[in-house]
Amino acid sequence: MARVIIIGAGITGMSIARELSKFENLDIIVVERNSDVGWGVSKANTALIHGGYDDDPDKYPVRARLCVRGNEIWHKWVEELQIPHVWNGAFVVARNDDERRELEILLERGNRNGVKGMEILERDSVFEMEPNITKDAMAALRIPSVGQIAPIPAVIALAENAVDNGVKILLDTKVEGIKVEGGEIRGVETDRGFIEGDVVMNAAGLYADEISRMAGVDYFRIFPRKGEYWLFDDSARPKPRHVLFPAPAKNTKGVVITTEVSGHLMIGPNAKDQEDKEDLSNTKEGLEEVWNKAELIWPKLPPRRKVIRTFAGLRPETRNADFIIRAEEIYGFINVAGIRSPGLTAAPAIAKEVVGIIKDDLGIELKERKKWNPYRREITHFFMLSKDEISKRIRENPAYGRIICKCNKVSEGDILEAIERMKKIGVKVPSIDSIKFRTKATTGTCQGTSCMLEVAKILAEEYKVPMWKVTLKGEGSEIGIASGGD
Amino acid sequence: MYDLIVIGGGATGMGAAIKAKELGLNLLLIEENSHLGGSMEFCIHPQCGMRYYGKKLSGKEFKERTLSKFRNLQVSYKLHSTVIDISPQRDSIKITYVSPEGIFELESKSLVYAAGARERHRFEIGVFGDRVAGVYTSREAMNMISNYGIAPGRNILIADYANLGMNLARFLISNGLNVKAIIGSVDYEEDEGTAIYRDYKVLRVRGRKRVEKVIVSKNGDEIEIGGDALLLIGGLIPRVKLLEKAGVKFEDEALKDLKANVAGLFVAGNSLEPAYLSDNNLLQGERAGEMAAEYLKKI
Repeated sequence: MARVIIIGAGITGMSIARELSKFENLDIIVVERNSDVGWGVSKANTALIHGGYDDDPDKYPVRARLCVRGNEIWHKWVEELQIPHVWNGAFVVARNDDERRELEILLERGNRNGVKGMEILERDSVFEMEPNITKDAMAALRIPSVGQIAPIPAVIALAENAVDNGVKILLDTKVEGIKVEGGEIRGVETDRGFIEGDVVMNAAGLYADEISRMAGVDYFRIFPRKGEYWLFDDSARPKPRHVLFPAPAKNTKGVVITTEVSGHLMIGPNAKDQEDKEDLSNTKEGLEEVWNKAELIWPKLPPRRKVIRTFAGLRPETRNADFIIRAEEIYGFINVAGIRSPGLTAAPAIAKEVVGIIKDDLGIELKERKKWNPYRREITHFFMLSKDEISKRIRENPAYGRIICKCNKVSEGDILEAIERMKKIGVKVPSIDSIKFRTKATTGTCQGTSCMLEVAKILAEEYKVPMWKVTLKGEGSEIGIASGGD
Repeated sequence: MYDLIVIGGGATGMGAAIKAKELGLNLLLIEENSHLGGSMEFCIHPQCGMRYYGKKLSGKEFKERTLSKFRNLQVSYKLHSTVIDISPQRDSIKITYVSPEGIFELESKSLVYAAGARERHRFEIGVFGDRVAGVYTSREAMNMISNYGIAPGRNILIADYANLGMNLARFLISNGLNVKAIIGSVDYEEDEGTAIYRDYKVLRVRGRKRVEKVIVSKNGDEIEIGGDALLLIGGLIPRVKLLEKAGVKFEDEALKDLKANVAGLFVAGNSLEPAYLSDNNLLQGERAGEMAAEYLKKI
């Protein structure tokens, strides 16, 4: 039996955990500093399952290889794990001759990377398929394999399935050191004690450089690159049918216009390098840049009053911009670092790559479990039920008839199921965000200003804590302050 | 088949129900929350009570008076009942609602829609920065304090877009809380030790986990104000998505007089013309109740 410690419960860490849970001779522990899974880099991004045409195989061979493969595997995983998704395809839009030439380059690169079914559409076909696109559009590269998933629900689904298959997740646990003896991994020091282990997998996102340094492996740095987004109300129109990219810029795939999985128009991101790994603030300048760039492709943006949220995410960039996935000199230490775009897409392929590293580089023989369970059931969503199903559910439990989030029609029953799942994977600090990502409560038109307190009340009762102590997103973000008595 | 269904148990809905009951209609009022009253208890308008009760009242007093009037008439009502659909039929209106008892369809000859309004939130106002704990709308904060016994912060900042900041400050102070500053284009004077940043605009919130400070500006000059909660009086937005789905045309002239383009459907109160004053809603609700009664006589 080998003990594997995975640092980081994001899309990368949880994909690896789930994949490794197939083997009966591995004992897997995931360590995460946040109060729930998926709250780091996985939380705020464009939520795209990319095609794989953008990653230059000469410059970024790992990305180029794993993106296409990850896309293929996601088609299976979203079904097994009941992850919200849509396979609507993407357009890369060219507005002049230079950009048109870019499309040819992307097409050729995509073919080289093994992307299937791409084609260049001429002006008329583009307008037929996207009538509201800019009049400047002269052609578009169509990539039919591109899709979108809900990224945090994906991490949650992976976590639940991993736990079903024996993985342990330790939340609110911060790694403070890595113990190495005689060139071999011995375990990790955390703020909650020492955890013995034979293999340490560094999937720590923005902090992967700091974790690697703890093991004495110090050859890369992670640079946070901020991306900002606008999210519109579901009633805001027009919405594109496909994921729309501009012809690519140097550092990014540009500002994307998309109808995300819940049916909201979303635009973003820009790309701005910064020092601070914790600064997720929205800036006026960044948001205006996104708005202006989006308008170039989608001129009929809805009015500002239809915006229901702005948010920002940080990408974990490295100098050479390719993924770092390798067994290091320290035996048992594996870096899975610099997982920037297309990290979400590549995650399943990264997980399979890591299995190979454990077998080939660490020489650990892996024995497959006979009774591995690939399936995970999504919780009830009132808004997806038919009238008959609603009647049936309410007869079983009246909580399904109590609508808490009026904008998105989330029932108390949905929320109670979410809490049960939270407890199952080890969530100890009750947070509004944990409910939000599982049920969609508080994510509608009013952004929770009408229902957040009722959600908090349910959390407080189920977690048996005073209501003011319920947090927005983990310790320190309590919704209220302690009054004299508490 | 009811004569009238009233959607919403706030000032407007209760006004409509009171009047319709007095006029002898067979009616049902449907409320989605666990209690009647809507946002009456959060009325902080300086004129609250003057127009309807002839006397300055607190939001709570206004609510109590209206509730007792409603109760004396023994109007039937349902709580915890969320209307999820309104479908105009040939000679009636069908609604579907959900409650812990099940999912039900009801038909009525007429309908008063009084689902109220919600307050504009930070993203609609354009308050950027960190998305952390401690930013609430004024009603959310008052609800927190009055009905859940939670203090939103120790040093509270108010961003006022409706000229009601001092009234909110008084509410908070009377609940033993400390209001540090009010920010906004307002015409009241400093009072109760609360600083006013007149004609400043809140640009962004900063803080790691909860509000630590807000950045405000006036004529391009930015300054920071420390505080651990930011309450927004951002104006009201009617809650009308169900009406939009039912085919109600908001540009219709007759709607100004509460009458929708769907026969028998009346819209009143904050769902029609939002204001932070309960008296207007109660009066307009009564008018809608009367109009429903008149409509029933004609058909």
